[in-house]
Amino acid sequence: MFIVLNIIVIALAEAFLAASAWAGGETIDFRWHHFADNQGTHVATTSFDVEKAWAGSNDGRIALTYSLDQVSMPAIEGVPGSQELLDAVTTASRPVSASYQESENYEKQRHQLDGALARGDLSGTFYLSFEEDWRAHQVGLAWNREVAQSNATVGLEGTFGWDHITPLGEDGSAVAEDRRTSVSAVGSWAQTLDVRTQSRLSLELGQVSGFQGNPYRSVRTDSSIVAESHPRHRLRSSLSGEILRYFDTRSSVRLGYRLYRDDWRIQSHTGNLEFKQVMGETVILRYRYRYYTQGGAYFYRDQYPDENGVDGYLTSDYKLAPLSSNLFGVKLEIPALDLLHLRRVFSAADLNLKIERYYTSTDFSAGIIETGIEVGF
Amino acid sequence: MVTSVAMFVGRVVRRARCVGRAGRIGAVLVLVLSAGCARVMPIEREMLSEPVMVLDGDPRERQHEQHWVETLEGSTGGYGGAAGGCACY
Repeated sequence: MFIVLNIIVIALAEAFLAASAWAGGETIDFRWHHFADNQGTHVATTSFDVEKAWAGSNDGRIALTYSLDQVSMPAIEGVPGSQELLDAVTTASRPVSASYQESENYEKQRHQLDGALARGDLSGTFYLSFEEDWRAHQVGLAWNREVAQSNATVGLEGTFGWDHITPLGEDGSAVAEDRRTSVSAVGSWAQTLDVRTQSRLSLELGQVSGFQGNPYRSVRTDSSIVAESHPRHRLRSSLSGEILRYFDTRSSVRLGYRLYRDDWRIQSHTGNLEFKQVMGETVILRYRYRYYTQGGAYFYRDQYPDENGVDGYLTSDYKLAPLSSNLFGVKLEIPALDLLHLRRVFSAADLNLKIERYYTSTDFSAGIIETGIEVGF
Repeated sequence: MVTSVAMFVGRVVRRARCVGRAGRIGAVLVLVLSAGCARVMPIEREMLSEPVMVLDGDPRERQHEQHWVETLEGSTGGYGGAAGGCACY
């Protein structure tokens, strides 16, 4: 079904392209992304991205992206209404109601629209995300400037987001209402170190206020089953750095590290290693490995004695527990202009294919596949 | 919005101990990098302009990965870019 849908979207996109008048240096990007984990959850994401020059401007650009997530989760095992189902620790925002406790898969969709308007060193961004029980909005402003004869780039970015959360009840209508706001600031410094080495440092500070849990998740204590309760404020900071080095075999190695801390006392370390190789004239092959490890939140426990939890907070969210994860995969980028005989129509046409494997210390694993085509005019 | 920004700045100042370590490390690294680099002239940028040397990589791919990683791990951010929504799989 997903594949058929994507073929239809590609056909529509090509019809749109054929009918449009485009100036040089503009692109359209179509991607299909599939995520499947070992618990039976599937997420198919279709996205369509357009970037054009801003009318009447020499250096202005406008970009717009629409994405659709189609999520399918397996039916909950057990007898409807039983203690086991009430205690179900769903890893998703899935309403646990009688109508969903049948043998059918639970399915939901998420629509996302985001875009950017850039001119010179400045750009403004927006982001909208719609689900049946969650609406997210975000606006941002970014400034980037090349300095030191283009040997360095300084960047500053600020964002403000606000979410509206309306968990659904048994009959599918909203039973509660809550909100969440977030503010973040990012500073980055990219530096050319020598004729074959580049580097970048980024520092991000952010604060999240409001509801930050899963409205459908419950916690089993030694004496009762209660709703999950997280602190309503969180201050986050992260520092990341990376180095990219070129080798004479037309290849490059990227080495990255990220340190993260927040006031829920989660501290994490992320390492990233990437190797890229040009094959033939223009095909690029990428190998990648990512390692991640974190400590747990101060209020996370495997078991709580009572509903008071730790300082009044309880969670069964496994991503607040100590964990580590590994991600490795391969990606192929193919300039396919001649392959598809499209040179008369497009100035560029790039195909890409990515396959990755992700697994954690908590026995969770997932496979990720991404295909896409980007065409330029 | 103004209130949230003010609260954010206030909390950053009050909780400086939380972010101080990362900030100090970042400041030191910026100084080390900027002090140790040579100035590369445009004519010397042949290798830096190779397609395997794009520092930003693929922003669309990165944004999508951040989205699903956020549903599975307890820390996010540090790379910039938009995010939000339940993001629950």
